[in-house]
Amino acid sequence: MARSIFLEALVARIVGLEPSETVPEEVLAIVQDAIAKRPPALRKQVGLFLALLRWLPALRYGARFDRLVPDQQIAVLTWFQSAPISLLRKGFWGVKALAFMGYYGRPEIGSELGYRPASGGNDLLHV
Amino acid sequence: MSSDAQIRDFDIVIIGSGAGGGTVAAELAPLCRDGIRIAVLEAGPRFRPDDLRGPEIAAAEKLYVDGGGFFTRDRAMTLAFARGYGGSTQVYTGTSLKIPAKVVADWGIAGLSADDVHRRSDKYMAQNNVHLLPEELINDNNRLFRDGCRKLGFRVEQFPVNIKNCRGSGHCNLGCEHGAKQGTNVVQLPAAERQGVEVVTDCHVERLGDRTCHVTVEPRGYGTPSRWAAGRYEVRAKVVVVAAGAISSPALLLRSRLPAKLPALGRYFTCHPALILVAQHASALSNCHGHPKSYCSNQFAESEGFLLETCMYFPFVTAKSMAGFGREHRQMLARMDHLQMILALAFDHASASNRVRIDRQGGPVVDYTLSPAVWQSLRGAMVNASRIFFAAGAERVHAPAARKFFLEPADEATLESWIPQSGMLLGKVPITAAHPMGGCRMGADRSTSVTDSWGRVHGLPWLHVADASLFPSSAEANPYLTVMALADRVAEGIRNRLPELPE
Repeated sequence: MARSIFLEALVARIVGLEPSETVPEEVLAIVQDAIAKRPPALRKQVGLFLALLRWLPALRYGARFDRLVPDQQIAVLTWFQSAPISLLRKGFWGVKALAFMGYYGRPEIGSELGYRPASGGNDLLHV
Repeated sequence: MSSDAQIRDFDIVIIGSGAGGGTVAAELAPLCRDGIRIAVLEAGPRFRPDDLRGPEIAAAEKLYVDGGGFFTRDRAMTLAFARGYGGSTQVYTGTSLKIPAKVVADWGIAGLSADDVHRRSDKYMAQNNVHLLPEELINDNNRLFRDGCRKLGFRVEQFPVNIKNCRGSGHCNLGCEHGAKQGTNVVQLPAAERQGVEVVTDCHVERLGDRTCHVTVEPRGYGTPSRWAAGRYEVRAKVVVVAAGAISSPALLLRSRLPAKLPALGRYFTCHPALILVAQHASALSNCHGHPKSYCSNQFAESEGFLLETCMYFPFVTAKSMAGFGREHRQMLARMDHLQMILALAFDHASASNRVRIDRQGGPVVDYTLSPAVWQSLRGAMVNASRIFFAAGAERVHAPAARKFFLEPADEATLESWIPQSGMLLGKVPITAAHPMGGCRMGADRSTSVTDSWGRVHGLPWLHVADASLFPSSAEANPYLTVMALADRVAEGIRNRLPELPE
């Protein structure tokens, strides 16, 4: 349950949800399923990186990631994105990709985004 | 010999059914009339149209190795390549460009001329119905690229594509449910099968022995069931042609521990590292309707080493291709129908240290370091793509290396300073590649090549390679036509030499 709160906060900040919005259950399920399907070595790396993301902020803010306010969470993630060590930047990109997979990989998201491909797309070119 | 493996005998076995394997199969198929037995062993399934209609993630998981996110060892880049009947021809967009003559000349392969490669490419352009789309089928995404380039005075050309009765679903990179894309799954493989070639799907080749393929057939739970029952087989042949792609072919040869000294095996891997660039317009555009790709600009090919092409991707792929996160990222994606996209391909040079290796389980691992030249090319591509976007009327542009998430028209005059080279950070700027090449490259020098100019592996006259792994260096153009041309040549060599080869 504690881990889910962390994941929820992380996904919310990465995807860009407002503090008043909640992360749909389906999104978290996709993320957790994607992690579970990765080969063991990669799963371990993801787990380690998530732990780092969760606990490293305590050094600066005195609290772990999911206990920070949104602006602080964003500041933490911004730091990771351009971190001086490429390993941290790559790890953050991987976590971002998982969050985006959960949010933008949902079948119903397309119509929310105005992305409406059609089997006969040529017929809609000049509509 | 494994006691539980069934033995199957053929004269010619082809491993892989993509641009290379499919071509060899079709070219050698007429030999079946003379009693020559030919099989194609394909690791992936034979997809049915229903298999290709699912949502983005589910479809990618079925079609692509690692769902399209196969990482290089250092996790700096993802590689996208497919498996299945038709190989990566199922998922490419059909960009039909001939290799620049200068590249073939630079390859310096004795007996291989640009004229020969182009002549063979022409053959496949005819077979695959390659043609220019008429103006009424050009969507806004393509038109804006063309118009933006023209406004800037950049060279821009329409390239032909290999489609027939395309309905414009825009689904090319997740397979064509209409069978309109003329990949080997639609053209060469069915023709080969009609002439007697046996295509076995869900068939993983674990390793090669002396003129023997040790394989396992294992159903995946989707696609048409394999012709062979699940289980292990030893498939024996006079000739084996490896055409499993530039990652899987070297990996197979490496784990086979062949009795030949091949120090270059796996080395000189190239891939056209790429960026997917995105801009937002004030009005909605037709971008996901119609064929996604028709234009490219080689304005900077010579001077800065990159090619720019139109493209259009799906929500998740678009999301992960941008740097940044949070509110601005979400704003960009919130109106996908307002997005224009450009694909930037950098021309990477062949380096012995960029290579395919195998892990303890024999699976492929790619060691690849993005060179300073490629980083510079990609940054140049970002700057010039941004110019094209603004020239086309975009109201904001996202450049992954920029000092802010959104660039606006007012920033155009100072783009060079907004997109500094220092912003090209490994791990922050998402790099992907879908043109794996090299690893079993052609050449005369056995210390720096794996095959001769006819695709025969040095020291093993029965073993051939017929895919993009033959490329001595990157093609500097979308590679599928060149793969088919080289595979055509490999097939010609096999046809000519088959009577000489021992049983």
